[in-house]
Amino acid sequence: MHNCQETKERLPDLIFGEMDFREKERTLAELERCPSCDAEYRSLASTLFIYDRAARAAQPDESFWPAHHERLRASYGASPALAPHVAEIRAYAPLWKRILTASVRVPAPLAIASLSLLAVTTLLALRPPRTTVSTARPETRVETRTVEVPVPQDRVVIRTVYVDRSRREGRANARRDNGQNIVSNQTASARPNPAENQREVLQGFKPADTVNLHIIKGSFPR
Amino acid sequence: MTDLSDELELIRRARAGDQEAFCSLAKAYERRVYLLALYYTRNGADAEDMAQELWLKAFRAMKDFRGESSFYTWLRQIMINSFLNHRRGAATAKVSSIESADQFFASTKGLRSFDLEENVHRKILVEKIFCALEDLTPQQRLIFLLKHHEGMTYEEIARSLGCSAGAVKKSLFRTVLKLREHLGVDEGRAESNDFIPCAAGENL
Repeated sequence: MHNCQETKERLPDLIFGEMDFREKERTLAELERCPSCDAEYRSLASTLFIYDRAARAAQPDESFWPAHHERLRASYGASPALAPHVAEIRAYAPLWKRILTASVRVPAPLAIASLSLLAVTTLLALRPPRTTVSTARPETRVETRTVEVPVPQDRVVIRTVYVDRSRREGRANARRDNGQNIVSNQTASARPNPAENQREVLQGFKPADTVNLHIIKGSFPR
Repeated sequence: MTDLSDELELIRRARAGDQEAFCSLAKAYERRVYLLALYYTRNGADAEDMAQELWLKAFRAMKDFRGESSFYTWLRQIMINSFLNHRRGAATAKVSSIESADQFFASTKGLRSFDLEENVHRKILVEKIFCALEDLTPQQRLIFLLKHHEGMTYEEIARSLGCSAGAVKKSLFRTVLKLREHLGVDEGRAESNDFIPCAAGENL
């Protein structure tokens, strides 16, 4: 069933050669049956025909081309394209050679700044050192030695003992007496009461004018 | 056109930086590139500038050409990118769109020798064709040129421009309708019965 709309939509494919042989035959057969579609097709084809004629007319004369070619040739010469040897190196050289000959495009201000910085750094590095009078103190030699020093853990005990001489003598006598009692088997009841003895000993005790201090010094292991 | 082996040899030498080899290589395609630029810009001087820019780009990029496609396919992609960039520049600068046929004849040195009648007829035709192309958007114009002059398929054009094949087809249909309107072809009227509708890429 022929549909004019569909056929007309296919016409660009026909006039621009986008149809395969079978489709082209089928479309041309449809055009033969439909005068409206055929007229549309002829109209579009005429348009391209006229366009082609006009396009040919717009082409320059033969004498234009040599001059055009020369202008293009001159522009290649003026072009900053790669020099042949550089291109060869880039294309066929080994990697290390390509790395050595590699270049990087850097903006001019950045390049100038970098070069200035490099120059200043080099100058500073090459400048002879300044001879200044040293105001520093002469060096004092400090020798550090580690010496082990035994630290005795001393403990001082001071006791002041007031002892009556007579009491000491009394004790000595008592000790002597006690020894005699043991030897002579005297009875315990006959033994004098120590409290009574002490009471007797302290009677009439007077502190001495001078104090004798006995300082006992010694160390205790921790 | 040189033989394929000659072209390969020229490509090899051009990649190595041989300017003469590149000139020889370019000579085979200079006309094609210039004419495409001329139909695209509708101005002889602009076409010259654009062609020169394109060839310089190709010359500089020659070392990157790997031979994965034909030289002309590679060159054409550079050309398409140049056209698209030119379009963006032109859109902002609003460069004058069309020059009259007289200006065109003045700018293109060395014209064909026509007699007076032919010359007038030619001027009218050129003016018509430039007016028709002027009325197209840059993308429509580029798609039309790639299809009608270069013989690229819908798919190839779509790949090159980053759009769909359907969009290419639609654009072409609108272009032909606009051209028909400008060239004064009546709808439903056959120009003549003795011409065969041209196949794409075989018309010039």
